[in-house]
Amino acid sequence: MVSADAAATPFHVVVERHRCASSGNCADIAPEVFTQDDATGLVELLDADPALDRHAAVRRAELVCPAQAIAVETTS
Amino acid sequence: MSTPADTPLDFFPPARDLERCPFDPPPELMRRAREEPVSRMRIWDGTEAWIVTGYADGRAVLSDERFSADPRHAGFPEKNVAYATTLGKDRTIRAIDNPEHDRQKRMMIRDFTVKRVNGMRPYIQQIVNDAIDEMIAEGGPVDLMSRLAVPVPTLVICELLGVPYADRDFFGDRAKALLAAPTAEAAGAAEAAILQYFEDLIDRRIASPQDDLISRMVHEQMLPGHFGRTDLVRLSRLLLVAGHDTTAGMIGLSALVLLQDSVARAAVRESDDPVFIANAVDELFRYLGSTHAGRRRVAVAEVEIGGRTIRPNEGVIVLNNLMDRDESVFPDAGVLDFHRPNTRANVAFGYGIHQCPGQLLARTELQIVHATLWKRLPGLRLAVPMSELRFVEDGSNFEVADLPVTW
Repeated sequence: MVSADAAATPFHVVVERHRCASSGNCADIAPEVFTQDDATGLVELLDADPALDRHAAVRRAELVCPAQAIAVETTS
Repeated sequence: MSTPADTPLDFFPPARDLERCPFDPPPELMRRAREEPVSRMRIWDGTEAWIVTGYADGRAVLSDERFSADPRHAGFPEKNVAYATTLGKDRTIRAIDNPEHDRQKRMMIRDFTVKRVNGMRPYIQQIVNDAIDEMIAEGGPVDLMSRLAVPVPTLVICELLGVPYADRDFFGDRAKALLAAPTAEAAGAAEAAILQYFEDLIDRRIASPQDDLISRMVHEQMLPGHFGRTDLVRLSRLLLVAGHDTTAGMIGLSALVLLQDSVARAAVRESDDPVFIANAVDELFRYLGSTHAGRRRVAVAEVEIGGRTIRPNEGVIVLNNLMDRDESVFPDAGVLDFHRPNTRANVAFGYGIHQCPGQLLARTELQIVHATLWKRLPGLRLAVPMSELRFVEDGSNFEVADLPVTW
């Protein structure tokens, strides 16, 4: 059961593809949210507004990304 | 970066305290991390370099384009004479800045994506199984380095590049010399043999392409004119030695940690959870920091890091192994904790655009080795006292030379 507060808090994922270093960390950590272009390895966003149970993995991907190409916007 | 003549600088790297704990960084570097996290030391060729030990400072350097990875810049702090003679002269992704770095990386990265690495899992599992089967058939004691730690990454990188198995011993010996040869002559001889091998392999792949990285690079990049033949020879050499030596060293060193720690060993042996095994492997990378020669850069502009001013043409050594012991990021950093929640944020593979492209492959190899070895050989133990093991401290990687085990 998702609390009303948590559901109301925006969690919008943004990727800056021009910064992406093709490390693949995000696609490994949160495969429901990020994937990689087969040829260039560049990040592709699968779900910009992931469900609550995926937020922790997205935060970990944001922390681990070596190119600081992932950001989460939490204000509407 | 001037130094008063009466203040001699310590040489980098200082010695570890092998008797107390071989897995900890040198005490002098741990002291600097606490007391002067950005400081100066002298390196092998007599020049000075900045030593960066803090997590935030290190990530700042490695993600800032004002620090170049290109050894052609005056003041670049090269690792040793072997690097200065061989790999340091390459114009491959390791040693170039953007925009050329990203252009080259995108040519080869398709063989290192999550999808591709996951696709290699059955193959890696098979070679790990085969290596352990052979150890069991022969009976202990055996040297775990030569029987498991070296063959697994060698076969994996040979498969990826398309190097026939029959040539693997040839590569093992020469890859070692390339990274750590004591003289320029020895490094040069090892290099010449490997470069000639790749020249011949490229000729064969021009005539008959296979499903491998070198064939793709030949037909998609080199022949259409996007990438030079000399560059492809040198990229192949880089991938061979990078994929082989560091991973072999980490398999051996991580196995030794578990041989010495019965609680950690039992946790890995009894787990069937791939998420736990992956976190345990990440924690082993963080704790061991085996690429202890650090990430080398040279400033191309004046930059302030950790309150110190680094000027153009001053060398910087970013110590990933000390960053990964930063207490402000990893509490109780000297403790191996397989449940550590943020251990994946370690910088054992570097940070910034030069983070190791093979990191997913290396992590996968370590995961499969540890998920298999301790279940197949639950009684595995050292066959000699710990005090008789010989560690290699002065190379690019910290590793154990031989690892005699029995069961």
